[in-house]
Amino acid sequence: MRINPFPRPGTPVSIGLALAALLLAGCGQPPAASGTATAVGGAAAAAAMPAQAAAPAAAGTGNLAGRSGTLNNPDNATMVFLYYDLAGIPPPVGQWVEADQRVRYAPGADKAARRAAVRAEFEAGLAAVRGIGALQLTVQANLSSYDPTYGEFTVGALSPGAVYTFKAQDQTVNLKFDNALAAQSWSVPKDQAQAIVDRIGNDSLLLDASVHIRKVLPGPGGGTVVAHVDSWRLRDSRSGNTVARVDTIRD
Amino acid sequence: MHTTQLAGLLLIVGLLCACGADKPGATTAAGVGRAAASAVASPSGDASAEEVAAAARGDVDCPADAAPHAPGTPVDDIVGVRPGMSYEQAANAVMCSGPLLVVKPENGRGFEINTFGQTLRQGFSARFAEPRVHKSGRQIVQEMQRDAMARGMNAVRQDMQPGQSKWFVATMGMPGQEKAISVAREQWFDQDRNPTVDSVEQALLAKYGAFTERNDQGDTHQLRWAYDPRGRLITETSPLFNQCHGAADPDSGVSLSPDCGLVVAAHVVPLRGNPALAQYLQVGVVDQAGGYQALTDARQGLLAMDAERRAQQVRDAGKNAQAPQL
Repeated sequence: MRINPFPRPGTPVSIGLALAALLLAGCGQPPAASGTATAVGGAAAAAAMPAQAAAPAAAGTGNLAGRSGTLNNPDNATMVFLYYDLAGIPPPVGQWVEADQRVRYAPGADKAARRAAVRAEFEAGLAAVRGIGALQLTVQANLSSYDPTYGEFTVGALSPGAVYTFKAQDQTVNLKFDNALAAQSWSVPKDQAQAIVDRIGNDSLLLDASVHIRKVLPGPGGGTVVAHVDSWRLRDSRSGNTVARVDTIRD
Repeated sequence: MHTTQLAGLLLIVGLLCACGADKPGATTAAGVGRAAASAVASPSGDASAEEVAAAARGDVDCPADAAPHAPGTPVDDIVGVRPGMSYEQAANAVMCSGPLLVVKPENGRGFEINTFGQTLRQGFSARFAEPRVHKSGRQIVQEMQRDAMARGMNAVRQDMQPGQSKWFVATMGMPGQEKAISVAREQWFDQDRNPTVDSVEQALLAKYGAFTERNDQGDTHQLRWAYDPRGRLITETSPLFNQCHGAADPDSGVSLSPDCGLVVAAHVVPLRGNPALAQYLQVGVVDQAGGYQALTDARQGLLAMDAERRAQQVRDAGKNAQAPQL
């Protein structure tokens, strides 16, 4: 993501463009794979379950310590629920329920029952993210060409500029990595690089990344979840064969 | 010209002069801008460029204190001015580079970020002071007519004269803590003392080292030194080779990307009459990842500051708020 903030004096400058650039700066790169769907309702949120059993947060919300649960490729609504849980911000469930189209457009006689059902979905979705502290993400790897100068490939999906955006319930949650600089580099000796290039060919690669959440930065209309990349695996999108695996990433 | 037209033109000139004046207190740099504001606010008679500069510059501490360049890291300064300097340090160092240089806050350039009512200094420019000459209405009108005719003839009018230089330094940070994120300077060589293009390029290579790319655009010789955020020189085999660009022109915008580190860009522009001689040189340095982080941090800090303000107001409202009368 690039932003170009300093216009030439005397030339016509669109403030709108500058604002758009700033907004884009917040959004970063579009999600490469998961988390790209448009906002979904409560039903989908309730269906998104943690990959591992999520232990209830003993210390309540807003506490990053003691979170052992993992989400596998969370959808937009789940990430928004998780953001509220991480930030310790009470989710405006009442507003979400009233804004839900199934409630808004329900016949008067059905509204109360529909309201209760939708509320239950939201609350189930919120309950499902309690104690979540780690994520498993599968995205397009966006692997660079081999750079013989420094003997490495670069995993674009993990670059410092990579920001994954999740939108639901009029909230935008961004996911960034605090060790992106280290995580994006895949060092390969020159004598092995060509074999890897030959093996990859023209196939697209998927990246399976394990990250744990380190920080949450609240903001208006959403916020940013900052995670640490612990390990990743590159695999061929067609055959599923593993191309590379990095288990330990230094800070 | 009719009297009414003349009066209208004078009115416009007066309004433009008023717009061009610095607002007192618009800058908080130590010794920077305050003198300029007072000088502009109360000009008294004609003054030479030196007198205007002396009045506008205030206290300048020269030579500027500059941290020595750390060995093994990219050279990141232009005449001692580098990203990471505080606003005040950078302004002082810029003025130390020329006795006629006057710094002016550039609040019209920068990022469109929500400052929640706070004043954020997003940069400053510096140019040579001009002599202050009071002109009659007739002189002003004659100048405007001459300018209009020049525009109509598509005449090239440079805003710099030989021997002059101008700067733009972009800054970012919380109010009062802004730091430079990019620096750009344009230097016009003295008339009849123009160096050769080759010698200018050699001087650039001697200072900034091996370059990432050399790319001549027309007559302009362009050089780029780009580094990744780890401080490694980007070469043509790097995936960042086509991503990380700088801005040599002080009037240009800069790009900020967390994927790029320091980028130095230089343009050597030759004389029209002799392309072997350099007319002027533009050099720009930007710390892209650092600038991006500074911008992100400032946005988050301003947001937190405003959240605290609102929370405090709510707390205050609990103590002394007026109850509704129902």
